[in-house]
Amino acid sequence: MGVFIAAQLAWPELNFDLPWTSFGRIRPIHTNIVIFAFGGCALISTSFYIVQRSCYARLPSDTAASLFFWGWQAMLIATVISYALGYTTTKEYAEMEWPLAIALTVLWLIYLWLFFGTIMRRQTSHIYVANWFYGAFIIVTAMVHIVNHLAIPVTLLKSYPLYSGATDAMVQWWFGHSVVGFILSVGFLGMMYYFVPKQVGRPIYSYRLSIVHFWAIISVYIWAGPHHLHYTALPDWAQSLGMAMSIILLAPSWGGMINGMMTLSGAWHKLRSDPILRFLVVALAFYGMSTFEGPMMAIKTVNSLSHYTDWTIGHVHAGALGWVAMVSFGSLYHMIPKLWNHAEMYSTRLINLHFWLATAGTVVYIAAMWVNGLTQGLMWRAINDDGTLSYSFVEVLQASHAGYVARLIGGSLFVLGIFLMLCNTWLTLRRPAQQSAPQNVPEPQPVEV
Amino acid sequence: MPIILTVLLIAAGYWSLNQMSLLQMEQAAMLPFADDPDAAKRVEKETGRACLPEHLAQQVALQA
Repeated sequence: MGVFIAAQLAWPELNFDLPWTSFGRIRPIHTNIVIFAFGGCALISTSFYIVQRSCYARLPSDTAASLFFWGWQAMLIATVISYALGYTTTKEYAEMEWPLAIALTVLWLIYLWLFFGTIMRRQTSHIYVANWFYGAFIIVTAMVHIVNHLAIPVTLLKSYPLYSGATDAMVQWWFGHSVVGFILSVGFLGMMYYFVPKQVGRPIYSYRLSIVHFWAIISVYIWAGPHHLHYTALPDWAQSLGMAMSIILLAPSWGGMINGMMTLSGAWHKLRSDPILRFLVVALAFYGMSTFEGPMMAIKTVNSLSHYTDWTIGHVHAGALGWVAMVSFGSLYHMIPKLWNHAEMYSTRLINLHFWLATAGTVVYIAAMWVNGLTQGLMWRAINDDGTLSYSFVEVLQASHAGYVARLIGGSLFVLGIFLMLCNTWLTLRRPAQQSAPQNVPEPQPVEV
Repeated sequence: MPIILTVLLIAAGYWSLNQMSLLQMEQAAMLPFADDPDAAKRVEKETGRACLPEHLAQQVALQA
């Protein structure tokens, strides 16, 4: 879907003059699929995997888990169909109309019960830190989703928000940045805190730092939303507060990145032969890069150049492709063989090829968007001696065309890598299981950590 | 309200850091290895920290 809309931006004829294939309708389908379908499913599956294994307890109900799975898929399909038909609240990442928003809330509460129910049944006194991150992601996502979707329905498929004007914008971006912060950062950090130590074969570099990281990031992230509303009708003090909090956010973000990277101390040589570890480490590098870039872009003077340009798109995709997708690929390559009782994936060569395609695709994508973003920002602000604009909007679009084509090539490389992953997974699953579950196990011992 | 919440979160962080000794933190960091006997032994050997009892309990729990 992303590649298709990238092609639409390069060649607008691909909109086909049909309302349901127009960029305006497909773009929210793309963002919602990335956040709730790809990101959501990756987080839900890994959270269930990690919480059961680190708490030594099964989920409280297999039936509820199955209901949640099928309900989540049905909700996603209904979301895609409703957006294509043009039913939308127009709020970014929160486009779903009220029946779907309620469905998501109910499903999320089932998820919350399954996750925390497992923690309640745990056999360890300590809850491993990855579960803290997942827990915060689940609670805060529920909170911001409910508050941002408070609306008055007027028909089955149309509602109006309780808020209006600048308040509505503020609530929307409090939600919007919390989606980035708590789904795409905090949730995936939970993934990182489990799978990086597992793949490296060493405990996390500093458990104390992971605790500091957790409390610091959840304290600060919720404040950063106003940086999406610089130079708008939002009060200036709120914009400055959002900017200041965004800059402070650099410290906990890099604390987590350094903690993950330093886990490889003395084991860097494993990167030569382990493409799964490469996925995880490059994901951390992109996380560090995008969490540096984000606070810089939140500075109002920088934002005056970058906002509304493709630089923002490049920043988002450095996080979405470089961090979110890469850490998910690494985690899934680790998890899939274990779930199907295999020693490893069918082909390490295919994982390696996927890694290089994903890395090259991401770099091409974000480089193209950086160049486009700077070009657009500088051309938009260029003025003649008499105060008139030096360039028309169409001239800026023409200057951006090469970048749009380059972005399409980068995105296509990335998707090609995902198809390789799909093939590799299929070939792994159809192999007969090589390991069997242990038959004779000792009596359970009370565990104190 | 948000300020109070932030202060509470920072206080919770301070409290959770004080709740655990360094040794307990080192043990907690070993939790992910408990589900793989071979990896557990290897990590125990490399770090000198124990995680085998965790593994024994987990094997039973996951099969239940």
